[in-house]
Amino acid sequence: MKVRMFQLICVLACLAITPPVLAQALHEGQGHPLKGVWQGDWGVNRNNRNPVTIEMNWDGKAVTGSLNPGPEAVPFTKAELNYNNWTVHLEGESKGVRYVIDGRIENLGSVRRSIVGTWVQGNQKGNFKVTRQ
Amino acid sequence: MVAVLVLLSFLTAPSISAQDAQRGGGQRGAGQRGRGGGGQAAGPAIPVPRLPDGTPNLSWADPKQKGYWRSGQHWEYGKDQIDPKAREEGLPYQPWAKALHEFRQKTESKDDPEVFCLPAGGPRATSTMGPWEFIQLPEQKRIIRIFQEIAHMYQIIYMDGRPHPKEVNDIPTWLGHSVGHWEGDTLVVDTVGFNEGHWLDRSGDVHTDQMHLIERFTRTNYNNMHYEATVDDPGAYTKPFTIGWDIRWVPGLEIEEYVCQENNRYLEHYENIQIEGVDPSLQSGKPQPRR
Repeated sequence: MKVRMFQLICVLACLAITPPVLAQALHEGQGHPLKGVWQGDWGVNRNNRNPVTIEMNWDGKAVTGSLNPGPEAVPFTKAELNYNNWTVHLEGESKGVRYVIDGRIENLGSVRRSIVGTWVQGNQKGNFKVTRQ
Repeated sequence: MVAVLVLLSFLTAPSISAQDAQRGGGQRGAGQRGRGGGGQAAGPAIPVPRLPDGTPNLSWADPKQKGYWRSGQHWEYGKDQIDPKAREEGLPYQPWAKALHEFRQKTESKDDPEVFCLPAGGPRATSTMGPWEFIQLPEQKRIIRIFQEIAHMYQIIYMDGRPHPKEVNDIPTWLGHSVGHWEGDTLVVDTVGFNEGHWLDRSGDVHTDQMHLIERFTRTNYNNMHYEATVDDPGAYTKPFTIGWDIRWVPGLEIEEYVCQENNRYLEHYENIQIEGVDPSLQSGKPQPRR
């Protein structure tokens, strides 16, 4: 019974998060290259992977966003795009854990472009790949 | 090089529909008549037709004078700016928008959403070679604009004085939300609520969902429409800019069915297009072996 209740809560939580995520996806991806919802994983090695969602927005002056949007979201304190080489630098902090994400956009011309690079979470260092949804 | 030229031909003609084949060129061929200089009717000048209320009729009233509007292809809006000084300086890009435009130029516009048959809103809808027409419905206080090629889409321009809805940016759309009014003989169309699905022009200029577009259509004579558009997009540009050109009336022809998605052969090649001199990791697909 407890398991079913937990599953129900999970479904309801997903439904609550989905509309804003879909609204972002509907922006169709030809504007600012970072804007949108990106999903993928990070990990310290090939066998130890963690699913991640990154949401980013562009207001005309700055990139804003968060890691894993929802109640446990980690807002980015720094989000930068270097348009000379299409590299991305993201920083955030939550519950005493600091996140530093450095990557480079791949397949820039596609709405399904990716960001690939290094991921530092606290004292763990690994790699990541996220793809725009 | 030959491969690139072949691919460019796909880019400028994204689909070769079965209907075209059945008609032996059909509508595309008919349109080429218009492009090839047939747009200007010979003979005595025909006055601009008017509706009973005196506003210009942007279409036709006499079946003997039917036709549609067709613009030439306007590749790069920086060169279409009204202000000569601005034309020299180019568009007032934000740095990221300039860099993205340069990338799209280097990759020869291969990722243009229009070649995937996606709709082109804003000025792009008026600078693509496909035919289009206005249908004025004064009793309904709206004007409908029908576009034949690419996405076979239509735009509703509300003429009843309503404002844009407050929630227009919550669910942005390809063509946005348009309201219009007359300033003398000029139809002024104000549009907001664009999504970010299309490029501003064929060269890959950018817009964002912050774009506010004011378009002005003036039928200067039966065979000519002057078009101006002011693009105010603080998401991608440092200041507004105004572009403009004339659009020709193509006499004798009517809008026909056109299905871009059908037999769109560009898609067969897209994944294999890699432009030399551009970092392969920034491009989709795989490099093709040289032939």
